[in-house]
Amino acid sequence: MKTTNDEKNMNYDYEHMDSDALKKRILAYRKMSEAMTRAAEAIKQKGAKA
Amino acid sequence: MNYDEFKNHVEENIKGFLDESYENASVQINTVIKNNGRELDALQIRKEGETITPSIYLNDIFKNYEQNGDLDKVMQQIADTRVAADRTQLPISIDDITNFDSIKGKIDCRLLNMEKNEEYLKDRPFTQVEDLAVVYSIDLGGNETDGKMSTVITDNLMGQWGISTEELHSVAMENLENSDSKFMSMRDTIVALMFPDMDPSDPQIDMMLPPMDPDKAMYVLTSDDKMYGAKLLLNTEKMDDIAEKLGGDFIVLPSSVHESIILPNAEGISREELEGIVQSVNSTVLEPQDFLSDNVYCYDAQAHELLRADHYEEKAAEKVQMAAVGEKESAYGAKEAFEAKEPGAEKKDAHRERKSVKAQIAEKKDIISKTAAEKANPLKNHQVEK
Repeated sequence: MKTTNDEKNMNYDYEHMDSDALKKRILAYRKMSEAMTRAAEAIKQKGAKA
Repeated sequence: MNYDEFKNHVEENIKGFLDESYENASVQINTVIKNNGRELDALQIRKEGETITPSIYLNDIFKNYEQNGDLDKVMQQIADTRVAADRTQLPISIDDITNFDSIKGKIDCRLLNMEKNEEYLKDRPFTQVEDLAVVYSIDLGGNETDGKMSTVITDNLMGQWGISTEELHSVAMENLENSDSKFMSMRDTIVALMFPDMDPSDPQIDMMLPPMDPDKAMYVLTSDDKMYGAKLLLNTEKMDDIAEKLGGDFIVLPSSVHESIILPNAEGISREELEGIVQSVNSTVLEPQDFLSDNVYCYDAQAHELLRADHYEEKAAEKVQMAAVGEKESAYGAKEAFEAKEPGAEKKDAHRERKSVKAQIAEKKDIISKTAAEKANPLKNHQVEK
């Protein structure tokens, strides 16, 4: 943002979550969830072998 | 047409795609530094007499042009974006913005990665929280569907207000406490995004989702508008509510600057493994501008504090050590664990070999409190009763 004493002008951002951003968020959640499930399964199996 | 040619073409011809109200508008393209080290080219079309103007970033628009090849279509889209901003009436004027008392109710905040924003933070006030930076913005209105308007507060503007960063932070935190947020299970969050018009309890939904273990509780914390929702980690009231719901301290996986994933406990997964999961998602799915952190965090409900997980572990180890010190004190009846011994003290120690019953009970109590300190650490393996 630029504000100067001379111009006193300001710029702003206009942001929204478009469909691409939405898809990427869903993908991130699913990857996180799946990775956690795999890690927990690996621990269960380690425990079972021990 | 390369990118420089594209920018020149836009600057020289965009008024041809706008109505006569833009006849005397000034058209400028300025390079601005955005979060996470990005440099973007902002197109600003300012009508006569306008003091607040939207920035339209050309970098991604050029990528769209490269994909579809229709220059006139892209130019019209830029023009439509500018006109759409006109239709959205800003609730405040430039005079309001430069008057702190008029604007303080609109002060918002965002959480960013400190290291990746060294340049960005040079002329913006911020507050450090672990390896993250809280920056401040003005909420100019809008909505989730059409878009949210905002501007990040600079040192220049803060100087015009005549306030300190601490005062700015205090106002932002107060506004944050009063803001809306969403704290939902991972499943419900995904359902709300994928099937917004369906009833979340509809059994058909689970047939369309990947299998989710109901015992592996994961939650998503974000703002109502889902923009820059990681800031909710600074809302201690909200964080304390979550701690109460989950039964104590909890783990935070930084999903992006827009939301955080909350785990009641690690279920035996080590901090390093959790960090690996976060880093993998960050590097494969996340857009660079949305990156928040590769680290894992924990919320200490007693201290009302967000800590990086390695710092949380250090603090937990200190608590265990203090509890052990307490155990030593009661066993030997003296505060000698960390104090230098007096000459001849060894002879006195020899007489203390047999513990009294009272000392043995005190020892057992301290073992219990040490165990409780360990159990409260969500990074250790324990089950939270649901």
